[in-house]
Amino acid sequence: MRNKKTIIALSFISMLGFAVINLSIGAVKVDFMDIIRIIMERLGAIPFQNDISQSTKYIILDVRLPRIIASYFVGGTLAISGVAYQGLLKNPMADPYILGISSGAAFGATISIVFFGGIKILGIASINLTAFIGAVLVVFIVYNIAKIGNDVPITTLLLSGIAMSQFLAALMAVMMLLFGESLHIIIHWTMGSLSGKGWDKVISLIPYSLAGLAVLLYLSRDMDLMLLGDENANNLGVNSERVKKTILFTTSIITGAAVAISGIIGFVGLIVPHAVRIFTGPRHKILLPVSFNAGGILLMFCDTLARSIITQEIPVGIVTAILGGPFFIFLLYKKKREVF
Amino acid sequence: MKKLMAFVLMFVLIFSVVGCRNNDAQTTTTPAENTESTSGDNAVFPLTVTDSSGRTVTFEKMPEKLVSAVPSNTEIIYALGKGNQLVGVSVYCNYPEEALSVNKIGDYNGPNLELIIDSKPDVFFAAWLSEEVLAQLEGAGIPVMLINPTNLEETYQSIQDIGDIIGSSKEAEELIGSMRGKQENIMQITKGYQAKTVFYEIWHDPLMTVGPGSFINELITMSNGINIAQDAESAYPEYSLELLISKNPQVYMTSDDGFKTPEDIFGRAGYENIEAIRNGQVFMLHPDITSRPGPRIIDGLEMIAKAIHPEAFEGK
Repeated sequence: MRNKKTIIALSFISMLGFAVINLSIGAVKVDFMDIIRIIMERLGAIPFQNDISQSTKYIILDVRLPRIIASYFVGGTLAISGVAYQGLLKNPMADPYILGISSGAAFGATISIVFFGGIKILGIASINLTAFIGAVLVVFIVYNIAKIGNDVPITTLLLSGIAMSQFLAALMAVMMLLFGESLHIIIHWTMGSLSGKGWDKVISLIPYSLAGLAVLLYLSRDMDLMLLGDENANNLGVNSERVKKTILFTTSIITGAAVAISGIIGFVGLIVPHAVRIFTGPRHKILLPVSFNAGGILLMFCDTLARSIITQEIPVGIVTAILGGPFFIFLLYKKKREVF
Repeated sequence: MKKLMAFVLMFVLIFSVVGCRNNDAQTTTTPAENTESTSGDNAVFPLTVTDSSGRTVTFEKMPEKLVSAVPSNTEIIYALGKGNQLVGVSVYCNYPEEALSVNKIGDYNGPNLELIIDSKPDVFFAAWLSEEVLAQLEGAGIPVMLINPTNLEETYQSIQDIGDIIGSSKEAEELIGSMRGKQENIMQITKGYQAKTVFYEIWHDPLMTVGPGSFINELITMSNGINIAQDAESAYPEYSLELLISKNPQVYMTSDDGFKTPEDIFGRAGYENIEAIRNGQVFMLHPDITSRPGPRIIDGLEMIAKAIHPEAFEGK
């Protein structure tokens, strides 16, 4: 038990260390000591530092810092959703998007880009809102298609997810053809980016993210038992259909919230659970929090590359795919038998 | 593979056709009531300008440090004689040559926020920004002008707006005057000839062309040409070979983007049925000149007009 806590604490501490390093990397060079002074000043620990320009302060506190925090929570959320889906569907190929969340969100975003432009609803940009609604709605529909009585067979769930995904992708392609003038905005969105995510976006995501982690942790024992098969789990006192429902509901909402602000960022939700499982084993109680931190670290790292490697911003979804693919292949090659 | 091509195509479109978003908002310049001139230049500050997206931006004094994320805006600023005030341009700003040596702040789709803020511009000219990036620039106190003309008239307006903002109103008026003069001249001398049917290839696989709402469609029409795709559904529609052959255009134009040669076009299956191909009427045009809504768009108009009605320009 102590060992577990140590691993979780270690993953959290390495995440914090990583965040500090990433804060000092960027297109604009800022001295490390200056960064510390800027943060201390904002916290009120030291008086106004007039030798650091206002624009440098803005870059650190309002551009870089919220973006790093956003990448942590988006990455963490995608990773725990991946853990939950892989366990729930007993499918090592599962990622947070397997039931069509990405297509739903992309379709929602497309509708907003094409028809609503820059409109805000209740202070939330319509693109974030429709992406979120699209993501959650798709899982709801997929779930109800797959449902037979009170049961939700995994195979039907997966198949209806794939069918819905393909269908929505086709609808989106039609819209892209008809509204060619918005093409680059739509494609840009679907490639995923954390560029320009400010505090408002971070603050809107954190509650979802943490609540999702809490719910999944609460269900971690049930999820462990369900790995033995639904019937065995039921015999051990787990209401596996209810757990399934709760997990689907939770993951779709938190993934929807993450995708709504970041666009579609692939690979994090697929490879992080596998990589972490190699070190922690399959118990969800430890797998979930460590994956959250590992997913956060991975996305932080990729996003730092995305914003600093060349002068133009690279959509971070491209970076995760380019780094994630070979990394995953390496892991598979090294630890073939232990991956799942 | 299809997807990859779609990405490539997207980037080609972005490189060359900056400014293809529909916008009903007219750009207008209204000097503020307070007409106290605060600069030696020929504009009046404070100045309130409405940009292409309908946002109003107020300039208290004449901006000195300029950043442009769009090639056309960069070309306009140079044409108005204020290129030396640019402290940041996009990686695609390749004209005039001086622009190449200005600091780069990213591209049209991925402007680098940190670099823009760090260069402390008094105004940032862009065409499109995501809602988040826009909010952050405004948060950093940088005035942002989204300039995204969708036709020639709006291009003139955007030149005037930029001129007013950077204190070159007179230069802008002169530039627009000379552009209008050339435009009218071209329209005048091509008018007397029999209109010809034209096809403009944007991309070859899948075959894509220009439809209503695109810049090139407007330039073709002004050159007394008939774009065979002018009844298409969107500005950059896919076009079938069948339709191309049945419409049988007299002139075939395309962008000289390095992805094809005239030989490729002449050799395509089925193309021997097209009048333009049989008569050798294939023209490769420089995409930067025909598609950027800046000062050179008039040269683009002339190139297109000469391709359609070469006889009109003989001896001129």
